[in-house]
Amino acid sequence: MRIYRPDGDVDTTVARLADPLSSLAGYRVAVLDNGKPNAALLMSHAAEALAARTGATLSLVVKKGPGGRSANAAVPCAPDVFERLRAEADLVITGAADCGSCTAYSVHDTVELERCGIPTVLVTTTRFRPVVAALAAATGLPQIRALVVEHPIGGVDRETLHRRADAACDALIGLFTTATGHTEHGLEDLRTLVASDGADLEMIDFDAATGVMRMRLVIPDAQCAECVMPRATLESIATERLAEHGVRTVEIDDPREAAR
Amino acid sequence: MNRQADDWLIDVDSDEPERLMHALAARGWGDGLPLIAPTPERVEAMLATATRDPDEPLAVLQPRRGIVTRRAVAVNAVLAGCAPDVFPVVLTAVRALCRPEVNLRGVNATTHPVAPLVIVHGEIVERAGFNAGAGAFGPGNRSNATVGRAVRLVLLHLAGAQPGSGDAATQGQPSKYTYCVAENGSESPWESYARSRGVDAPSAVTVHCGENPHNVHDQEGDGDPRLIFGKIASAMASLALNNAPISQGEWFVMLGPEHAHSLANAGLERRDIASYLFDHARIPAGTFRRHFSELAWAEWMKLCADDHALPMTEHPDNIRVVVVGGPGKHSSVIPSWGMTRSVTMAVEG
Repeated sequence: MRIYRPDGDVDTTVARLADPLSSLAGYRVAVLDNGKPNAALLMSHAAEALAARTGATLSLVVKKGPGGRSANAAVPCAPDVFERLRAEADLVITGAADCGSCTAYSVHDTVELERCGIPTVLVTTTRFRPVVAALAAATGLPQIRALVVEHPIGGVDRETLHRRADAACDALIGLFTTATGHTEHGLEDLRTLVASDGADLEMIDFDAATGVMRMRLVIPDAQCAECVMPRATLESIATERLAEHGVRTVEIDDPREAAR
Repeated sequence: MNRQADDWLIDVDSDEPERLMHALAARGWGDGLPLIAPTPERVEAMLATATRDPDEPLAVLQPRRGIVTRRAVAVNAVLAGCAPDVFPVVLTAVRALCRPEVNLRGVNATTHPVAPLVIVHGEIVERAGFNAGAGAFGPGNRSNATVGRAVRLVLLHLAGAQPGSGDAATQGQPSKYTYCVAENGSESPWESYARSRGVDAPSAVTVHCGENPHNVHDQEGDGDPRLIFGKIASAMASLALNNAPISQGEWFVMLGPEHAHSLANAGLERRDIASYLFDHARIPAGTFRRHFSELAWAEWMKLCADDHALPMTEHPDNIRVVVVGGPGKHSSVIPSWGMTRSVTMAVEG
């Protein structure tokens, strides 16, 4: 029997991360606060720790509501605050993505800042990391720079938060200085794997609802076609490596099959 | 890019209900209840009630970035068990949810249990067999049940509001399965709710993203509206709701016809009811401040001293009155998710 699939078409526009920086010295870091309890406290301390370590400066701590006077986590960053970030910061730390709607809109803000060329780290928690992964992939930026701290952030005392921020400093610096963020660690591993056989992998899209990620295998030199692992093997390895990022199934378009 | 509709066709090995459900669930589709197979014939029958291009892109639903077309909505309406005559209501409800003030990205993603309530107004209520009378919130009526369910399936399949990822609801709520009711126009002492919002069409749909109904039971207030009001106000004055820290939130006061007539007989119009509840459902500003680290309040509320009793919303117009249900002394209030606004639209194909 033939039926219609119920999920229709999706917009598959892909976003890109801003270029990473080799050194953070002299750069201006801003904290974009969505008003979640303790978010500003945690992120400001992390930014200060990063500044002390790298020679960057903490240039701005601002709430995301109009005029930076207030914040509501369940709406996008106010346009005037967004423009202020573009003018006064080279790097942004934002969050906290520790609930549903705040994660959705923090992911949205992060993607928009990255689109403008501002490397942005999204602070989330161990419990909401899968939601970040799913929403970031659905938004077209699965490689989002996500800093994962222990859950929860709200209701935790100041000393504990400071300790967590200090402990996360290396990871925070790493997210700004490497080309790869969250899911991309997994993707990069896979690309390295096939690169040794003269091939490459490109992500086509990711459906957060079903957990299906589609990739395209690229084999520039036809002579390498037989050196690269079979599609089924690649899909199995990719699915295993990307599982922690909310990916349940990987489907690879294999040019070798089309040629037959 | 929109593919040809034929690209959406897939093969399943049987239309036996258990096997169809299993085949769809294996692909991550469905709401846990049995589904009707969306065959091309059934989808075409649904689309026959829509007048315009079935494949015209109408909106993009977040977070999955699913593209809304009439055909995509029709597929989900078939799955939900809708009869074709309710399809214009499903389509209008989905289009209303796509309006920016609804903030559907937030509604879908939040840990709050919010579900979109669909309220049907006007002549289509009777024509398409919606229940506006006894037990209007359910169960038992196909039109109410399937329209609400079709909207949920659109959110699951097109918007990607899957529990745990696109929908992070901590507990969810039963109205996330289906949430549709009809205004009881024939027993309302006032003009249609849609008309009161400036939508002067034969049929209309309102969407309000909120909680389950909170019951209000009053047997005593027939001769004294203050007794009914006191109970409604006490159901509203709660610190546990998103309406507490977010002052732009709306309230839907769903009056049973008997309560509505008791209030109307005392000479009260909708705006009087809203004003009274604005004035009487209150909590001291200091109590709010003690309980919330961040208050999304209107500027005027921030100026109030701690001992000043503040209303449960920033303006009386945010308290909306609709008559629903049959005989008896029950009404309900439906709090909002908060960062969302209701939308009322004329039914269109």
